[in-house]
Amino acid sequence: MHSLGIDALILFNAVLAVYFLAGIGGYGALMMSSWISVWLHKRRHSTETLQELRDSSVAPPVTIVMPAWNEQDVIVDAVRGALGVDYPGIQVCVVDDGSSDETLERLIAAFELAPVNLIARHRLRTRPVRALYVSSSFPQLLVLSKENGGKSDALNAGLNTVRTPYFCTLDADCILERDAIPRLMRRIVSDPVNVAASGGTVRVLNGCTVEEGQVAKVNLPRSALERFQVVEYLRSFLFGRTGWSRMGGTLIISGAFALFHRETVIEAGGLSSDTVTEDMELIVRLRRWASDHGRVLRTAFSSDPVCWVACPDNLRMLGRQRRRWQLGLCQTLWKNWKMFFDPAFGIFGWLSLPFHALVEALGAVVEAAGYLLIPFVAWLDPALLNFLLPLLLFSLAYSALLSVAALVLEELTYRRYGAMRGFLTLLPYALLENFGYRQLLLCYRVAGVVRFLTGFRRWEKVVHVSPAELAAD
Amino acid sequence: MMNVPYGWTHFAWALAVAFSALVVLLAGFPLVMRAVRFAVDRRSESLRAAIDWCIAGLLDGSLDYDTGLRSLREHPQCVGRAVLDRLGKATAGPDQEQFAKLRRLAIDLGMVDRWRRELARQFSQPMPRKLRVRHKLFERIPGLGFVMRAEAAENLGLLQNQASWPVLAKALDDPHPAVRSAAARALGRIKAPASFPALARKLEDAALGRGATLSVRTLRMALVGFDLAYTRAFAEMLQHPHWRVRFLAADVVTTMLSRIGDQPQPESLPRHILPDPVARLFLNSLSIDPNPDVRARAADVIVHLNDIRTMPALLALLDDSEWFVRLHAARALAECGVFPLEALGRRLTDAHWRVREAAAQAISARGPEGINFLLAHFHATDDRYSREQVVEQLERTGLIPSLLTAFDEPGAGEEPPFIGEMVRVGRAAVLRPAVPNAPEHDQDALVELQDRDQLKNRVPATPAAAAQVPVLAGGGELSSLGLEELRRA
Repeated sequence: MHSLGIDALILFNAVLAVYFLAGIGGYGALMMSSWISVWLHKRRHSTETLQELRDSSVAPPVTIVMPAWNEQDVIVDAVRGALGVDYPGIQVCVVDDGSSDETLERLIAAFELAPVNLIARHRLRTRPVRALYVSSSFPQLLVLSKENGGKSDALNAGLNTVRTPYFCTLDADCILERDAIPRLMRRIVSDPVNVAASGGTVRVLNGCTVEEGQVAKVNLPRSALERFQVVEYLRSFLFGRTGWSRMGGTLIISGAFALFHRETVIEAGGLSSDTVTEDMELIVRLRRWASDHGRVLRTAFSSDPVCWVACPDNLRMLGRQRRRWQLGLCQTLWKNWKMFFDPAFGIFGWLSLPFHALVEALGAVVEAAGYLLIPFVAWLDPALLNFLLPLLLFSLAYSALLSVAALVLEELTYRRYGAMRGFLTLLPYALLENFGYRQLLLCYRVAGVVRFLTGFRRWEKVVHVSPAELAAD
Repeated sequence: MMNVPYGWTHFAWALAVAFSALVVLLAGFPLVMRAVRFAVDRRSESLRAAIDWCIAGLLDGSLDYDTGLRSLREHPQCVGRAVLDRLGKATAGPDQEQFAKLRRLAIDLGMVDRWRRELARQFSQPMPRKLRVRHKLFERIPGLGFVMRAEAAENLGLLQNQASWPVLAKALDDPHPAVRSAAARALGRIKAPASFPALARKLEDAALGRGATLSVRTLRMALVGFDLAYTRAFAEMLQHPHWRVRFLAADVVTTMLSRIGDQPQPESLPRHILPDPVARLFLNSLSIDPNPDVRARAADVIVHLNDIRTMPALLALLDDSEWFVRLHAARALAECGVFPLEALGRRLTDAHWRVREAAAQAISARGPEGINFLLAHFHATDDRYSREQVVEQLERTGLIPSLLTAFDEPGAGEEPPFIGEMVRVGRAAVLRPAVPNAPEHDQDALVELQDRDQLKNRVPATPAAAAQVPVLAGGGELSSLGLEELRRA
């Protein structure tokens, strides 16, 4: 029995070693790739004016599609912010997804909406549309009220009414920077290959001052939980997504804020309700669809278009959010397992998908098992701790290195949180996040995996501090 | 017991210590950078102030040009940034007079020459040590050599230096896409007549997917800024055997025309807006091109041609076998404004909804005459989809309340067919929102249509709708059948 335990441990050691090497190698490559990418992007575009694109008659028209479900506190400011985006001919389509609060009523009152009886043409199947409203004061605004069907359904309903070649998905609790869409569009215009999806950076809104639907002053949030998330977002967007985008392996473009080519999305079947992370699933499906139909298209990520999103300010909501992300990741990877190691998908099939499956999805379980096994190993053979402890220290140092490198990159390039001030404030959180916060997230991630294994599919709404509250602060 | 191989523990400790030290070093890096930057800034602050003062003096004329130039030549690298900033790279552009002065300054300071050499990768000429080091650094690090070239191309474009077009045209074949893209944009800004064929050639390459490719949108953006007279260079492309080449050339001409159309113009566009050979190609050849995409673009162009053959060609395209050609033709006619209503009226019963929609929009854009045509069509047709389209168009133009108001005018003549017909064909729901303060789902609400006081308070949704109210057919009471239907609705 004792021998069997040792054999199992040795086997698990091998698994851990593979996970460890894949993680270290992958994140190291991402770090290097993103440093080059962000630095180059910043250098090439920091002084380039967007006016040329705005003035150009070849800038493709864009509609912002904003799904809203029970967003009465934020919806009016969110729509005002969307209408204020600096892009020629921007249109806004708000989809009220059967809200039970006053979301629709507040929109009607604020924008003097009048019902219209436009012909419904369902290229994508959705729950029934109840009514359409237009505004005499804002002709570029269309509001659609439909029965509740979830975010994907709401986006599909909006997509049925969109006439512009591109559409931008935007959550109602997000604040788009005025020049975010031209920045996203710059990538589409300049790329010789068709860009079907273009994403930007999401930053944490908590702590910022909001005025008239725009971020007036950028501040860091007060609580440690939110500050840990600021570091995490920086690491995720400046490192992970930029790095994968440079390598051609983008798996995730945040649906809170992303630009898509309408016809491509519709032809690929629109947004799916199969998974709880419809944005990730859409990106993977677009690639599969392009491969199946012999099309060449690209999904791009740029680090300078910014959308501000309120992050959870309590553990309950954070747990909901992270469980959903992990569940969605597992669902998406499982749904598209045939794409793994398929030569047709290149880097995406050979590197990105296996990395996300091994390190991001399964890694949660492996890491959790590792934490649990350390006391067991110590009990089994205290001498092994002499090896495991420095290894653990190395892993923590490597983790901290990634977070600190993200902060340094932010400090050397965008400095949204103020020169040095933001860096020095966030530095302790980057160093300390491996002592408690990381383990907390690990619990949520494992719970997400468990939910995937048990077939849980429900979308849990995350309620967090609203821009309206921030404005009041 | 498990044994860790000899040396692994030491290796693990070494890794842990090394990475911990790396974290500390990395955390200190911005602090060091900040300190260095602060020291450099402090040293160059006075120098920058002097340069700014000098440039400002040159621009407002308070400083003699030669004297100022001599002073600025002493610090070429700092001056470069200051001039670029002034040129409006970071802020709004300067006025024309200042722009001319800055352009001259950049040439006299040797900046333009340096950018050209950078773009052409000719570094043998003497240059300041700092710049030389930077060039070598960028050229030697794999994958970074393009940065200097792309920036040089952008700077030349920013300066709109006409003499630089040959080197920029050559850069359209640069190995790096960012340089090619920057060169194309720069040529679009400079608008040197001789560079148009070079850009057109790249468009052809992009269409055929040969050579160093460039984004079609970037090329379009560069080309559409040119004068329409240069489209003569497209003549060959418009007759190219490959449809994609013909399509992209036609598409650029369309965009150039729409760009001009968007600008404030005299009463109408000049008669010969396109060179004759190009206009002839569109009228005689492209409007009957075997490729529908090309025909669609041809419709967008020929509507701008002041020619006797324009209308017949457009009407022929309006009956094209492909729906999107008919759509473009309908939109073109709407833009034209003068067209036989009957011809577009036929498209109200088109098999494709987008054509029906475009036709309804074009007809309603004709004003009262068009609205009355739509109403008559609504009454006459049996086509359900066509009727829905008319109703939607009236909704979009905000005319439903106006129609109701007109309906309520006492003694205004014959019974208006429209309201009754709407009820008859099951479109009474459209009328419901027009009744103020009525509960949405109250089935009796429509009966209130007879209440004149309420109807009189209705305000047309748009000024355009208000202007059309008096000429609409109106007055009278609902027929008994209509009223009954209305009650049941």
